[in-house]
Amino acid sequence: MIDAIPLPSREGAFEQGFWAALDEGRLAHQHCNACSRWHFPPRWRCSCGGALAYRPVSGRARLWSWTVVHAPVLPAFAPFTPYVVGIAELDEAPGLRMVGSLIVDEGDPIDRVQPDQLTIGMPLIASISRIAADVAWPSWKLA
Amino acid sequence: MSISGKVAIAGIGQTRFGKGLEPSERELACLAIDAALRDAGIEPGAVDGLSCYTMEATADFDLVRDLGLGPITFFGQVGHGGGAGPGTVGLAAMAIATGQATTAVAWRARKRSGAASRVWAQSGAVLEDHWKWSRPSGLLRPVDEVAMLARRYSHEYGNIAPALAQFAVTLREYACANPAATMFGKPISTADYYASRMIADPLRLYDNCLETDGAVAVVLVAADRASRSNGPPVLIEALAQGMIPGHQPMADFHREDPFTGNSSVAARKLWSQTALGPDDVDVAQFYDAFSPLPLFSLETYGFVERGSAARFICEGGIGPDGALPCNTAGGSLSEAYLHGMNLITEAVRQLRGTATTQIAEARVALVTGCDVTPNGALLLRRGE
Repeated sequence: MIDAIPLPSREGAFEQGFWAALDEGRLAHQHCNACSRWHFPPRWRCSCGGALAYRPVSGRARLWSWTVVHAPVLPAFAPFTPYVVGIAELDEAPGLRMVGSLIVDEGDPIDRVQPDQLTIGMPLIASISRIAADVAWPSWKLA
Repeated sequence: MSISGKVAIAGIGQTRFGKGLEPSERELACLAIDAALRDAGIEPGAVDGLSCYTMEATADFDLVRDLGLGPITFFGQVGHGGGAGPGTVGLAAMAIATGQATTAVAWRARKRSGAASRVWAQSGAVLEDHWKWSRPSGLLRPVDEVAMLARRYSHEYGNIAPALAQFAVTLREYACANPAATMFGKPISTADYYASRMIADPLRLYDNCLETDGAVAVVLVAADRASRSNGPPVLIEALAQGMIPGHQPMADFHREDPFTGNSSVAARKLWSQTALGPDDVDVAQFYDAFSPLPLFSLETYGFVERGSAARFICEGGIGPDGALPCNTAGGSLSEAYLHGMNLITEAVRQLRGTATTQIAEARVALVTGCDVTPNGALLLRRGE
């Protein structure tokens, strides 16, 4: 955990199932009962009009893009610059993507992974950990 | 029903651009609006319409009091920061075309040169908006978000670094011909570009817009009321806005194809509103807070095929002798960063024939809003 990072509110609309799954150490996203599309970020209903329910995902993903963040940044992140941030595209659907830190082992700091370890399209696995006492969030382990 | 040819941009005004300017943001707004009204030959008391960005800090009623405007019968705002410029002018134009106002002012004033004024730096302890999905992972700034798209685009279509360098150097050359530009007299080379420090790999310092104090204003009236004393009238040929389902501002990673976004919606609407097309555009002002954005816009507005904007730029396409001269006053990278409003005034100067790097026979100009926010576009043409 990093002190004083901006944290996501858990009170947003249509998010309860997302946070509840993470609290149990699982990653879940909204899935349409009618057309089987997956959605993230959370929404009221599917673009087809169908009802959505949270369903666990496999946690398998591929690296869609990444950047290396250099100073200046918010004070909480300053000790880690430069650090890599990635976007994982989940195996369940094209476009089902999440921003997250990249790691090698559970518990790694956000600046552990180096750019020369990365190739777009490489496999990733979700690794859920606490970013604050009451917020769990997936990092992405290089597979 | 169409707005084509009904409304003219009759006046333009601006303050000095720079860092640490003495006047307050409110006074900068007054100075720019006053200059635009004098350019248009219109008394302040004739202004009855006002349009600005939702991010504008100066209250419209304060400006009415300060400048002696009004009474005001139309006031409105357009959201989404750098995407708002064309829509802000478009809103004023629609007010005139529908009779809700006869003389409208659109403006943008900023004191942005202090580091503390950066929007991302004011990120709160708890994120309630959509940035909750990315900022806790350390993706903090707009440049980080654009860097993600730039790397993905390079992966799909080839390395764009040479095009980004060419873009930065070309805009600096335009700025060096423009005494009002912040970077007037400060040329850069391709080597300087590559030597500039990394901010969000693959984006460097020179891929980022300036942080500017200043203000810009335009005055709009019905086409038949535009004075010709300041040159040929500049008419609104078409305008459009765009917001694609699934979009969220800047951290726009959650749609299957992020490179077909809001601009594709705005472009389709724009070209459906006019008999003109991309081949008719003589000069373009693409929103350029970050250098990859104009690549996306060049493609989406139909000037080049998807994946070929980098080659177009590297071959000199956006230079003064290129197929589509772009951001000809230096743009947000080298003239000033006023959320794109200075791109609109430069388009007007090109059509009047008074630009510092004047494109010969410029009759049609395109101005776009930020490619990675809800946005819009203005197509302007020179009246006869």
